[in-house]
Amino acid sequence: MAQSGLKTTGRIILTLGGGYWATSASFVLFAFLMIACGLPRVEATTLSMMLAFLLYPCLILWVFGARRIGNPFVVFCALIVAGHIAPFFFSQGH
Amino acid sequence: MAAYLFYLPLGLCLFMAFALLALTQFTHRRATGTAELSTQRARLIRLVATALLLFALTGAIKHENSGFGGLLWAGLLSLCACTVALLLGWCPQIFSPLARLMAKPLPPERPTGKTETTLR
Amino acid sequence: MEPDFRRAMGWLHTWSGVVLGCILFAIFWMGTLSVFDIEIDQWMKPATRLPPAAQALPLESFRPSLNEAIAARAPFWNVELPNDRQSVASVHYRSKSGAVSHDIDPVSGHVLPDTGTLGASGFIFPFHYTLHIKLMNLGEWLVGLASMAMLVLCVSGVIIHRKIFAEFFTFRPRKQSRRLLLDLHNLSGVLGLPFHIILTFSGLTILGATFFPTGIKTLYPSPRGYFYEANSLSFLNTKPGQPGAPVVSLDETFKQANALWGGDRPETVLVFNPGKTTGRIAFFRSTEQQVVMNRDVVAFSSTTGELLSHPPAPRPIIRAQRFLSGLHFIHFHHWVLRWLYFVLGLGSCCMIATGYLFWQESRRARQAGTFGFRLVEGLSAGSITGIIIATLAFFISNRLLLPGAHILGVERAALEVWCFYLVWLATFLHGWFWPRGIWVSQSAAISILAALAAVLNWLTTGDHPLHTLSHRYLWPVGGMDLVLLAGSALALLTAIRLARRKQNATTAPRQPAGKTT
Repeated sequence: MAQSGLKTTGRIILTLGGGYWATSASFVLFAFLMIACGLPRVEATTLSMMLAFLLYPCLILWVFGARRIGNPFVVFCALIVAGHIAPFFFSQGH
Repeated sequence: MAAYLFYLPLGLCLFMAFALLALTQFTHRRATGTAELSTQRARLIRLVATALLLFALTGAIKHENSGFGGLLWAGLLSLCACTVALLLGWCPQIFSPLARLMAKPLPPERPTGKTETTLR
Repeated sequence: MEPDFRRAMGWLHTWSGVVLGCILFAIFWMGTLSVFDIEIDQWMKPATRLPPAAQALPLESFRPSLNEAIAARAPFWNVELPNDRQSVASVHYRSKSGAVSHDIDPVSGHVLPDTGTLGASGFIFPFHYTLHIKLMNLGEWLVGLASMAMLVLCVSGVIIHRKIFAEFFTFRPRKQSRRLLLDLHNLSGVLGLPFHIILTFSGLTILGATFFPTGIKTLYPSPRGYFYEANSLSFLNTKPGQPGAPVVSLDETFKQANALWGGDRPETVLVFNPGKTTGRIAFFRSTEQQVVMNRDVVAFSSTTGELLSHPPAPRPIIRAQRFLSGLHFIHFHHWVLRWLYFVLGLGSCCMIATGYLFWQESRRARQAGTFGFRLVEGLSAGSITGIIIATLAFFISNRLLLPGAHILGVERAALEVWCFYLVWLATFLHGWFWPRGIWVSQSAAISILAALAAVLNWLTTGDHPLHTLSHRYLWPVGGMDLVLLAGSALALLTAIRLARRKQNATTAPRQPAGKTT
């Protein structure tokens, strides 16, 4: 094992919790963006769901591949915040 | 039953393509007891193999619809590549005639001495 | 690529594989069997081994079952019509006491005697995506986690593979076992990569709404709304309604749908809210001849017979999603492709198994006695050969249990499932407590059990391979017997080879084997 146990645990928690949450948030964010671009709601949802399943493995690989987990952590936070604010901005898109 | 006869040539086509690709590699040439190929020859053969793969894809799509054809091609691709690898592992000598044929000089050009394996 | 990154990927590949490999193997094994779920059903339910009817039954002949569903206040009732994989029709509905399903004789329209088994479509197929853990949908979440890990494993595997092109066709059967295992792992991993990735990805998209519930809730008032809209089932969005309404003639209603389709047959007829004022009748067009699950559903009101909806052709994104689910569900009828899926699925199983074994071989010399090694050793034995043995025990119990058998109040169908789990548990215990020679003994067990299953099928039903292969409608049974026999032979060969290898190892300087208890 190349890393200390504490760091590894941190990475695992960051991928399982933060990575999932960030993926879910970017799923919502992207779907709202697509709806704002004029795509019907069902297609926007389906498309961003499929993309979310591609995004999540990339995030996992990033967390484990990055030398320090500060960068992924910051980006995940930003995505989560953006994903939770998006519904208020796009609420007329419903 | 006659409808199933299409799959045999399709599989053979893919099998040949992978056999050609494998036999441009140094380790497999050594296993079949043949000399290395020249760079040019190897490149030419890889081109032929790629053409065979694409030909099989178009054939599969023409024969079935695009969905079935594509899936069939992708599935047979894995299967044929696996067969080539297993046969090369167990009895490489059955590929020797093909390997010798690949090294045979074409009438106008001669293989040059310099060789390398780009895939390595 | 920097070595640090590659080492990190190697670490990720190793440990996510070791931790989730057992779940992944179970998913892939059950998925591979599900490719032939209807065929296995016929093997497990001898009463349904019938020749196809020359003429299709009128839909009204299923009326008695529909009336039962109305009396049971079922939320839905449906009938799956015979097709070229299955000559019997089957009706399903849910009553207060649970799901009810019956097979219907394609000629007389009578209900066939119940074998008392869940079969492949009731046990093996749901196992593939729920692991039969119902608590809080935990099973589906575990499957999701494992599938995500599978995608990560595929990508990280490609990254850490140093010579992916140079060793594209490399397989050295005469090398030492560690090298051989790695060769096999690379071979099945790299050459089957398109299959692993596409099947895992499409599986994830099928259960997508389950895995992102909060996202769906933000976009839709209810997750059901999204499901209905994405699957052209919006006509199901109705209020419960009042009971006591009639259901119009299914045949008369079908004439309209038939006209819209230009003469195609439906694969399923659904009556939603049967006997209620808001009832619906829906005809699902058969999609046997294409990969895309088109969901060409024509819906009528079940009280008036009035046409409610007929969806337009799906737009590209929805079509892409239905292509993915179609290629995962394999509802189409294409025998060559179906066998290809089966073989490639076995290839995926082989990749997972060799990955596990490679992990052990590369650590056996250094840490054979440690607790962690012993744990993984037992885990891998139970999850690789163990699940195969358990599945065979499930088949054998199906042939051995008498019809209507029950022990301690457990029904016959549940007894078969108990057999599966008890045998599976036993293989884990075997792996943990007696690891010496585990692979030889479990391979031998597979060989004996598989042959036994095929022989028991002959003894209990009289359908021996020569008989089944000479009748087209019995090919599914014959095919399953032949696969069992072939598997038995292969397992026997493996056991003999392994035993011989072990003998050679004892004459040579021995490597330390695990402690015996």
